[in-house]
Amino acid sequence: MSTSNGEAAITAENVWKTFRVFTDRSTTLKQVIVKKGKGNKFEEFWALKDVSFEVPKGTTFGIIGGNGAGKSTMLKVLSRILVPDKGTVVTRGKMSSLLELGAGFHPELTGRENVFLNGSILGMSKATLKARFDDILAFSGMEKFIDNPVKTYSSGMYARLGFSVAVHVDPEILLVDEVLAVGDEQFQRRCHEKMAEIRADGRTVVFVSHGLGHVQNLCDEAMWLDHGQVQAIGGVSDVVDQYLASVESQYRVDGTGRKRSGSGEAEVVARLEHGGSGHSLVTGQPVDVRFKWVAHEPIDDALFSCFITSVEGHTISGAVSTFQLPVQRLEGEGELVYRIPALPLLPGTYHLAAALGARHSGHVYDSSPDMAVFDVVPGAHHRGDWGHVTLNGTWHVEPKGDAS
Amino acid sequence: MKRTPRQAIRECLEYRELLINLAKRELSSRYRRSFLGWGWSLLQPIMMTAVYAIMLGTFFKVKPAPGDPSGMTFFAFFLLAGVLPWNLFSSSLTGAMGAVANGGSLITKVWFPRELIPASTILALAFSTCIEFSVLSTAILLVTGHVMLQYIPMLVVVLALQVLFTSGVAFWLAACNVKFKDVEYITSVLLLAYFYLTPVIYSPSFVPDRTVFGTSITMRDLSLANPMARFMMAYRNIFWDIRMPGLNTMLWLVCSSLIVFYVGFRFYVRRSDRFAESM
Repeated sequence: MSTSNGEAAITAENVWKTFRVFTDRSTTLKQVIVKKGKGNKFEEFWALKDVSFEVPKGTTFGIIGGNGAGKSTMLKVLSRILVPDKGTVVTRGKMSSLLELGAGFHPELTGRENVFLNGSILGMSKATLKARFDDILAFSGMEKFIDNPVKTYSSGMYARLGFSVAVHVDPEILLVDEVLAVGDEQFQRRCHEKMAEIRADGRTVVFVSHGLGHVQNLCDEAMWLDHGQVQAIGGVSDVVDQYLASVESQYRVDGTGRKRSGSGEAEVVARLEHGGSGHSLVTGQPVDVRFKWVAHEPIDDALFSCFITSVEGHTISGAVSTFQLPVQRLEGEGELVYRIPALPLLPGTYHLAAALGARHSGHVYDSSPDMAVFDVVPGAHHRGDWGHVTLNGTWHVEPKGDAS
Repeated sequence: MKRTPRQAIRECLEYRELLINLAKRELSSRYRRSFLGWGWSLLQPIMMTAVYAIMLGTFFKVKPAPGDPSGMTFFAFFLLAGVLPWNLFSSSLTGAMGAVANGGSLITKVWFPRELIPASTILALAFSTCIEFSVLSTAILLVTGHVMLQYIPMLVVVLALQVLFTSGVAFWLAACNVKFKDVEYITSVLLLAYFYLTPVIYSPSFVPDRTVFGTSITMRDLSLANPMARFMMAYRNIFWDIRMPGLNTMLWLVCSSLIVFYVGFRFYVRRSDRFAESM
């Protein structure tokens, strides 16, 4: 992609970026002096490898990829926060980046003062800010609190005010990192409307997200990064399809419809067992995670693991057999139980993932992200708790006067 | 894609409005929750001066030579003429280091010329120094009857040079401090030593006139090579002697300030490329 025509808002050519991952870093002078001559031990980690792309003026460009693919690094290079080690980035037009909401907000200053500060950090002139202040305020819906110090704001209010400033910057190029998911549903809808408005206005937008749905709705073109390398660039549906195909190909689907991955020398199936009757698990009751394994060939140093995720995909808790079980040699078949004395999960739907791997090499024999889907119903002692897990606390009234 | 100092200065000028806003943030958030508020800005140097006046004047019986040609003898004015600019110097260094080290999301999440972070801290401090200087001039007028109006342009020039010199040192230290947190602590110790080496609370004539190293150079000559000592002389010429600083002193100040600023600024510009990774 060496063709750079006048139509491109952003041209990135052969961008390389390395980070030093210090295994033993000197951050004090003493360490430098003590280790004189030995230097710092670090490994170079290429976050971006020879990335080239062009974003035509007036289009919306999405960057997708898994965790650690280099998406955010790319965005930071575009916004000049990071300087590439090799290669060049040329941007044409006033640029503003939305990597964090409310950058530079000072807790002691009022919302109003912070709007002006944050606006000027994002590159707005005082005159523009004055002219747009009413719009910003109306968009945030924070009229009542605007003259209170920002430290009294909830994190949602903070983000809303920050977002309102950011979308009113009115740049020619806007860089956005998944910050759309702020505030309540009504506010999110307004954010999406505003994004659509910005696009309709003919601005160039670069959008980084995990949410493929968002990318597909918002973007014209997309780039898929994997371990810092470009895997595909082009029309958004093509790139998303290719990306999904690659994610899916890491799994095969077994006879029971579960996604499986791993080399297959051994297999494992895990299920949840509880003493009571009925399908659902109950908060606070004992539960066993029963692993049934089959080793097609003998395996040394086996490692079992399981973890529970919420339906939104957040990991709630995970466990590995390493620290409690001595080295496991697997031959033939057998069973293993992970015993949970009192289930801390609160009512809701959860996924159980399980895996069998090698303790030292990190090699995976068998793994499934959706071993089981299960529901939890309320236990008698946990009414009034909310969230995903109970802290198992109890409430007490302290006697008056003699608190010592 | 490496920035040159020239490019950095051009970008700083483009972002001058942000520089003012960051300095305003600094000023309006300072003292925000204290009872006396801005009173502290004046009270703090006055209290410090009172301590020195009692210690030096009463215990050590120090008496500086009367102002020449003003004939001024009020010890507090002698001290304030040194303590106020010294405070600007030392708080700029610590302030700039702190502002960059605690820059957090300003450095890792947004881009603007990174030079503005220490620069805005120093600008805010220079602004309070201006207020302190006007209060001092008014006090001198009320107590001794000396009108300082015609010296104001010179005072502005000296202050501007001091800001330049101070920024150079502050930029250099702030960039070092991102990498090694020790710099902050070492600086506080060195500042204390530098305070006593510089004629802040004494006059340069206190330095022995003895020759050193078998040369014809005297200790006093050496002490006057220190730019901060020259700044103190210039301020004392204005506030104590009530006259213009000598040409020698001014030349020395212009040269040393420009050099120190250029070296510190260049170092900072080079280093700032990697600040976001070091945070």
